Amino acid sequence: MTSQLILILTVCWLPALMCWMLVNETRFKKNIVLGVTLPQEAHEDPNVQKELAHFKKTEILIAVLLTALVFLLLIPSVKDWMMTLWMIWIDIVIIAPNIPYVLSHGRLIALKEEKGWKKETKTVRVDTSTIGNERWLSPLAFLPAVIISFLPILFDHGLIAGYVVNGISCILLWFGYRYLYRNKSEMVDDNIELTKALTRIRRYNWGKMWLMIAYLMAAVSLILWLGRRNGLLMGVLTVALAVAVCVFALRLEMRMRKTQERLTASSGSGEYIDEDDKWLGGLIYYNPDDHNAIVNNRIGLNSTVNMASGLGKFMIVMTVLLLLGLPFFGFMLDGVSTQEIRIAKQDAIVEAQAGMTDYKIDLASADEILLLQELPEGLSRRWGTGMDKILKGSFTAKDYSNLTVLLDPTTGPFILIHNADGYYLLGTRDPQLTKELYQSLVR
Amino acid sequence: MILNFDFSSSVPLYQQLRNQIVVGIAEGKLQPGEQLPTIRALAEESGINMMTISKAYQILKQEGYITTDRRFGARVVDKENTHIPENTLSELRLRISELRLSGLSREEILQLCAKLYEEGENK
Repeated sequence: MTSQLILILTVCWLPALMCWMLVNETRFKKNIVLGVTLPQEAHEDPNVQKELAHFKKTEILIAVLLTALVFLLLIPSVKDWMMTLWMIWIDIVIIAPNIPYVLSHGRLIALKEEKGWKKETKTVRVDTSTIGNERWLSPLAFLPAVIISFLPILFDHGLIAGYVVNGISCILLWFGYRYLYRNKSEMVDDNIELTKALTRIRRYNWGKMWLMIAYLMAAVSLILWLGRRNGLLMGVLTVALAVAVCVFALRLEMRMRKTQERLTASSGSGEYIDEDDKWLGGLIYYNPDDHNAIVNNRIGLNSTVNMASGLGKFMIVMTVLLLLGLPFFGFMLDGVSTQEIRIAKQDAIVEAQAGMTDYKIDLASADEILLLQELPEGLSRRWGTGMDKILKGSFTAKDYSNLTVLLDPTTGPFILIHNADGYYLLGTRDPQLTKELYQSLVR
Repeated sequence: MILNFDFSSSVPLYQQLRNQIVVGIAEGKLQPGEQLPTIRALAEESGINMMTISKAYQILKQEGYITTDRRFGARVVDKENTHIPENTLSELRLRISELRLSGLSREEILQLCAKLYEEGENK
């Protein structure tokens, strides 16, 4: 029940977040609302306002329903299908809130044509005075984060993989900062100063975001190092850091949107940019004339891909595969959780097997075989599987620096074997069977 | 200076860019010595292939409207361009012939040219 609750608590806030982000799009920024560019005269139009109000209500209703739905996973009878249902729910959370968005976007586009607000913009406008003034952050700004990430390797070799991954991530973050940004002016209308201000603000916040994430990755390395002997401390600090990253990124995105809203509040009465025909459903950028694969989102800080490019097509395929793959992945995890644990003795070898995991333990060199009624204190996973109903892989505990484990933690007792290769901790799903096996081993 | 690119036009994009820069220089929107955007920056901004931008810049350089160097990129030439490219002359001959065939006299054609010239100066 506790693990089910933890699993639910890690995601139950997602519908509210999706709702918040999408409802925020009902406020005009750069003359755009729900992905539709409208002139100033349309901002207060009753039909537009009615559509926006309808969209808000629908999104809030969907968020409430989806949040309630995830708590149904606490029902005991669905426990065996927990991961499958959890993944399906995540798929629904990703897809469902976007359906009203696309529908409202379509209705606003129709209204735009009906009212004569549609602009014939066949040309791409470029203001030469706003191009080429960019100043990128030096890679040296990311260097301290890289050094801090790698630093614990000098003192601890146990979690070396974690430190290396964090250090490499910091280097990759610089590449992300430098190459995932479309270096394009934020042109909204003929106001050059406005274009320059919006472009400068976006570039500044873009750098701030990547730099901050790099230093948070460095903090992850420090947490791994400081918390390596204390699982609880490591868990608490990791959760705190994850929350900090989310809060920081969201705050930056929302502040960016707020600034765009404020600076462009009076735009849209004369000449203004309208690129709606390049954004399918207001969400997907599709422009075969644009040679760039990475483009900036029209609203906020993020980047997206041009679906007309090779990279864009690849991303479509990957996204569809990911969405379809999530329930399948959940199904596989549920299968692992309940898979049979077989332990058998043959001559001087004990074979412990579950799924793809297969341990062969040499009894000839065994100098200690014990039956433990409870799991060793401070049992913590180094690598492998750590689920409610199965533990397998390499673990540490208070009195054992390295344990090879294959057992169901809900069903004791457990057999501890020490031989020339190290410690093994085993247990079947049947207590009686485990006891009988122990008797045969010590006989 | 504002550049407009029409992707559905029959005029090639490099030609559109070349023409707009020439008009921009003639109308004073681009000053002598003024730096033009780099090829990469203009390609990112407009979505046009870098090779296309590069081709337009090469033509402008050959025609003597801009200079390029590694350090400062492309700049509008400091001195007035006294060289009239051969294709400009042949184009002018063609247009004058068309105006004559439209029934305009020599004076009317010269007046029209003067009017368009002044429009360019006043922009």
